[in-house]
Amino acid sequence: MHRSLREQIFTGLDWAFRLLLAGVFLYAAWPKMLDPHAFAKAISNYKVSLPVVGSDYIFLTAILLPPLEAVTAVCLFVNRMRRGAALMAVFLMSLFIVLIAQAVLRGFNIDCGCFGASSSSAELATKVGWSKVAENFGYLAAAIFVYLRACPPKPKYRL
Amino acid sequence: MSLGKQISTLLIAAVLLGLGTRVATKNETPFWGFPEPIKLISPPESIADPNAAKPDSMFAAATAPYEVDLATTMVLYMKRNKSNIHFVDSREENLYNEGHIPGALNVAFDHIDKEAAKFLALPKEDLIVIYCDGGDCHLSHDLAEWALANGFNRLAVFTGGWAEWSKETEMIDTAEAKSE
Repeated sequence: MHRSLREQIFTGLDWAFRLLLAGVFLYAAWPKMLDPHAFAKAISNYKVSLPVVGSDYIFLTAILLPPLEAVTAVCLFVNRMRRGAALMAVFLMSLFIVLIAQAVLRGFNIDCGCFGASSSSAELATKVGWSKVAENFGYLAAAIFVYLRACPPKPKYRL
Repeated sequence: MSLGKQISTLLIAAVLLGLGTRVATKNETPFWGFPEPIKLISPPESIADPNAAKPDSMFAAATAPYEVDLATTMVLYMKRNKSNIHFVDSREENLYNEGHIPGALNVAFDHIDKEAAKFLALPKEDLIVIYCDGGDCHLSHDLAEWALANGFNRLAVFTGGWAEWSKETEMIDTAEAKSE
């Protein structure tokens, strides 16, 4: 009985977290997909230079990251390829946390660019800060929960 | 489907969606590289000349904003009324209220959709000096780029920004001072 109740609660949480993550990713992806150049500017404000390619990765990232968010959102929403989508959500959230945290530690006073360029979604334009990091940690926890629920259960007994 | 296949499918779908959106929206953002920050041009050297009656006339219409330092900004500030020079603070309203160059108009670039009308009301033939926090702050550059695209061609960016102005001068206005 207890087991059944716990399972019902976990199933409910699983649904809620998947819908939350799908909503956040889709809402974030849409304006960035429509204006990748503005998103590229937002990325460049983080001043992250990679070995070998330097900052040349920015345009490619601005073109491909929003569709990846959108595809992840759709998969989470329709409950298909759940494990892959949840793992992708974990990866994306971890990436955002690292990027925002390094910007805060370097003292940058920039828009996070999370929901597109400031000019296209002024209401959602938020500065990078520890509150943004904490918010993303919340999403990361939800993504980890969904991923663990999507993993097939381990066999209890071995022959 | 294995986890590896799921991830591969997601990546392929994302690439296809990205390319599809690019074609549908006729976007021409290049695949490789990064957005170059707007290039500022050097100001006239004789701007600090105290005999210059109308320093703003030295800032001719240009295809790029001028980069001005603290000394030049102060000269422009002193002669702002006679020479039709406007100052624009591109930071958030709360930062503007805490302190700004006296007489500066607040046009927060983060909310340019709402603030555009304030900037567009400025006379296009006048010189407009834009500033933000200074240092890593990019808002003044972004606002200057936006203003150029909207037909303003006599622009100057005070790159030292509020950090330099508030450190080196005592000419500071706040929201509290205004309400008194």
